[in-house]
Amino acid sequence: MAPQAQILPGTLDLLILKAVSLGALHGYGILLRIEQISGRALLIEQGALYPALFRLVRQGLLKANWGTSENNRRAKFYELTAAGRKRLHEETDGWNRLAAAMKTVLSAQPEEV
Amino acid sequence: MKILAYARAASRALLNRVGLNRELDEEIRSHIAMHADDLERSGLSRAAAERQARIAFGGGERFKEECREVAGISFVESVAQDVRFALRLLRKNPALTAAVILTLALGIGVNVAMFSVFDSFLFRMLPVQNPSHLVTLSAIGKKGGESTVFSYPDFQDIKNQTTSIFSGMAAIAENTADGISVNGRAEPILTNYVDGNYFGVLGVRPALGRLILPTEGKALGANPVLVLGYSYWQAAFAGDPNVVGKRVAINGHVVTIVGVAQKGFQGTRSFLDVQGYLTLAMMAIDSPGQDSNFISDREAKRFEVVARLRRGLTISRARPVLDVAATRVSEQYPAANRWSRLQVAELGALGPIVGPNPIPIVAALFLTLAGLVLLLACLLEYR
Repeated sequence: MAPQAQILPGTLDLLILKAVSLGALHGYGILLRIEQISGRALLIEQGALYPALFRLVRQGLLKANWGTSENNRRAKFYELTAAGRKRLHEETDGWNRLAAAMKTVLSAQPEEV
Repeated sequence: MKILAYARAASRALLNRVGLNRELDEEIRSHIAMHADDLERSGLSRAAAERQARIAFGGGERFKEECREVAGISFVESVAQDVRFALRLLRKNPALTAAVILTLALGIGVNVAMFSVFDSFLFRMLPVQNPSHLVTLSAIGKKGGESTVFSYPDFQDIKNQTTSIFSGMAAIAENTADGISVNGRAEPILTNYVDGNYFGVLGVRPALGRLILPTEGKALGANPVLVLGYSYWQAAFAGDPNVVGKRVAINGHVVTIVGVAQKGFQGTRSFLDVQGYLTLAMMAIDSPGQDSNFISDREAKRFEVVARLRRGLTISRARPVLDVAATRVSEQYPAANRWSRLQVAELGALGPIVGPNPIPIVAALFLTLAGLVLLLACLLEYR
């Protein structure tokens, strides 16, 4: 198991958008998928997920519908809207640039300066 | 139609808060149940699995509160946005803004005017003692028809025969414009000729000096006294307290001012403001020669009657006594009076009225009209 890391502020939204982009999920499912695709490296406080989901729905990035889970439990399923998909692309690009820049900076050697 | 849409959004937001709580509760329950399902599959008992799932979720209330804040803040934000938007629009179209303000002002103004007019004319009682006990009489003719005026002898007869139901009865001659001359300056004023019981029956007190006494005005030309209306005293004499005893001329006849009627009292019709009260005996100065014999003439029907019901009596209980009086007087003087009965009605703000009381109908009509004007003004704003 990889060492766990607290997620950075502001990154939860992006993680949710990414998790949901792979298929409609309920809240618990989103949690499991983020854990799964991060190799259990990212730890999310379970309850904190819901205010984030609520915010994304209000921003029109997600849409929610009540349905039935694989275990026959009633649950609210979230999926991306067109705006959500667009936002995911933008944020992914932005994040990649930032990560690349951070990596370059942090790996700088004395002789390169 | 922005206002309607806005009201809908606001009510939806309020309803949503209730729905939001319920939905969040359900979502969190379902989350914890699904987590517990997984824990149970890994070998825990159901109870232990549920407990662990609840602990893992953390404080549900805190997160619900966060959700509510997200909802609440955006509601307030959208209100502020709408207000800013409206202000911007109004600034951009000064002509439209002026038209909007003007129509609204007109609509509201018309309504305010209507309501205040009806309030003062129709709904407010006379400023006298127990105004609800005051009634007015009218005679219903044998061949139909109704009259609110009586001759002085008939008034006296009716008064004498109805002392069991009325504690007092007064005769008033119709409102007349007379010329008053004060210090050589002449102007027309509105006067009432009233009998000596007038102020007593109404329960009006003097603001200054005295009023007309029950003993006054019994003989033609006797007691040339004048009582001023309060607002006329203020306007024409600047509220001078030394006005009592002053001699002025009414239609050329010298009368003495003896007092001022109480503040707020302006006669028995609230839309008129009587400026001076004279005794019945002074009627000769109004139209000399014509009324010289009004005290004995049964054909000279020119007095309205105001009476005060005895305490505890109602109009319906007074009726039998009046019927008897009506029959007696009209049988005694068949030439002058062909009455089938005497009608008694509350003294409305309009004074004695012939026929059914028109006030409610008129009031309803005008208030409806005013309401429509306001509605129209509002509809114009919508477009």
